[in-house]
Amino acid sequence: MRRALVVGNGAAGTFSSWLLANNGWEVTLVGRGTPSTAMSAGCLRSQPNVCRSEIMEFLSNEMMPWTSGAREGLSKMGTPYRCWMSPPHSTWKEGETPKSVAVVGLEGHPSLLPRVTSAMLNARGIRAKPFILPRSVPSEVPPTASFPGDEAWGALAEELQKLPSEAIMLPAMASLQDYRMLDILELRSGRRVLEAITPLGAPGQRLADIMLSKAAGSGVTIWDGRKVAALDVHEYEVRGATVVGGQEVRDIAIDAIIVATGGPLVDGLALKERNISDPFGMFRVVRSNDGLRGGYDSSNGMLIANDGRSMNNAVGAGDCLSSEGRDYGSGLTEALEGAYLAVQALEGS
Amino acid sequence: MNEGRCIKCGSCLRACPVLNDPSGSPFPGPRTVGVDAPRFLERNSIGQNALRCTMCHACEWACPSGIALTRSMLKLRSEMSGERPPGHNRLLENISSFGRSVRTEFSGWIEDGNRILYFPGCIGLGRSTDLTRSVSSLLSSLGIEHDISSQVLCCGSPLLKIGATEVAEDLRRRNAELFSRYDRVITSCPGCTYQLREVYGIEAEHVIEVLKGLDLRSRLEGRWALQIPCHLKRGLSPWTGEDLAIILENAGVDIVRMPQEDSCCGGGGGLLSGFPETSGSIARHKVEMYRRAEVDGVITACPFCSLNLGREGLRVLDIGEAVTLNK
Repeated sequence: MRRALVVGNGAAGTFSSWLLANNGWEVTLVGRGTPSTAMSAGCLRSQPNVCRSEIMEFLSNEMMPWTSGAREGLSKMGTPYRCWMSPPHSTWKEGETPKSVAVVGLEGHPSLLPRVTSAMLNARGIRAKPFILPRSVPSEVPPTASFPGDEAWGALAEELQKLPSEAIMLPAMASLQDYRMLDILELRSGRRVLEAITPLGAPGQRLADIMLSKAAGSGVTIWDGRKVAALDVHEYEVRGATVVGGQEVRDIAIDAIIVATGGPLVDGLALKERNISDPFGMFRVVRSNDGLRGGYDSSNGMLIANDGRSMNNAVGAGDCLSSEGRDYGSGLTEALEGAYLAVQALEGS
Repeated sequence: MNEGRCIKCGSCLRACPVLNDPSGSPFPGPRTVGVDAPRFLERNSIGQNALRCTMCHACEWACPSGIALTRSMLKLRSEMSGERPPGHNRLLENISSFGRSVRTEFSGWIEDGNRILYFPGCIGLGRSTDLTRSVSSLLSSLGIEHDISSQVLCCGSPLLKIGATEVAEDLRRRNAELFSRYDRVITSCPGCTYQLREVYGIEAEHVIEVLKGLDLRSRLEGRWALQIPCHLKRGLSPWTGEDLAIILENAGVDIVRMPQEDSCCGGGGGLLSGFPETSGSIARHKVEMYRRAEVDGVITACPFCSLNLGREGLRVLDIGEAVTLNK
């Protein structure tokens, strides 16, 4: 069985792992830290041009369905948001904008500011009213993450019934396990329940959770919390990798590698003066004046070694590749398409 | 330190078991304590609540920029001045009067001049003595003849957690002579294992590493969930963390896997002694979660997890109590 190492636990890394495993590869995915995917708004802004059915299958999950087409929603600041694919409570079909919205903030929950959002909506002609539920209604809401306990959701549904509006906008707080609770809230309150489009929170985390569990379900070995410290390269072929986790170091033999690290960066993300250089010291990177467009150089999908020769079994996927044509906001779709092309390049090698 | 790499994404906050404790805790959070305080003057005024971190490494795992948050918070503790919580003072008094963090209850010392030392740690000797006896007899049944020395003192890990670096160094010096009499050290506490490796330079083995690959069978009936210790999975090695489940499954224990099995029990980082109400609240909510899953109990590999979850009425066993040699 051919053995592949995939480096990176975001959209490109998990999707390429899943594709490879389904094609009969023995795949190890090494990734550490929260990927950008988990910090996204959890929606696909643009429609994929290639591998659409594969992407739909990869993202399908019994706990959270998806809607696609021309979709509209509201950001946590009340600004309009358009996308092609989203969870059902994040957006509505183009043209079905609610007439009135109750913007419900939960005291202590930072991801929705009801007064600001309402003012923004009113300015755009959507009748909106802010409500702030005190921390004691459901007493169990923690400030930063999930929302444990069915009783807490029940208490929230009761409160929402009292609100006068057609739709209710809530902070993004439903984890993947809890997503069905939004349906229950909708049923019990008799109001359309919307989740504010929110980066850096529950929506992105749900997406990352779906992707990782899908990869694991297809037989990929997930080495989370670990890092590839070095690669063993002979004659333009990567033959092994050194992986570090905690105080332990392990060497593994591999037949191919997909680098899907989000960026050629020595230690994770850095927004300002994104200083790109290959952490493995092996591959050529293209620097660009626009930091978001620089990245690994490649030829027919294969990464390029420092001396300019093309690698035999090393490909890049997703945002770590240099791209002249990348549009802002196209990240997730492009990362998924790039992962598909990377796997094709590897299969053809 | 690399705190300057922070991109303010909040991933550490969402991962923090103390910030996410539903009862609410005045902990300022890993970003304030681990990133901001060391870089700005807040270190001088940050106050006792900065100590309400269990040192579970979850923030560090979540950080996309690879910031050594735990190390940074630990360093801050050694630089903090001001009053200690009463529980931390008690810990220091215990160390100065008898060299261990809690009073010793264990009496089954083995001092036969064996070349292998089983080092149960202060909690194993003072609180979870059944655990210590089980691990000791399991080791004997594997042919690993060992000492349990009455001379060993605290490894020093809890002292680093309360910022008492000099006391920790003194303990290391006092323990060093004893350790030099042994060829191999086996532990049942991930915190001790980490300390012995990092600070003493001794390649101590956690009992999971000893049990790996052996032909074992379950001693248990019923369905069991896991509490994967933080210092095992995120401190020593994630592979060793995974081995806990693999060993139990291979031994035929009916294991129920849960998404939060590797979240902190609340017992680490000096929380159990310094802030028992926060520690207890985190444990209580974890225990409720296990109860909802309708398991008969939880298997772990850390005396702190055993103690803290056990206090909330959950049946908690150590791996050393869960398996036996298949013969």
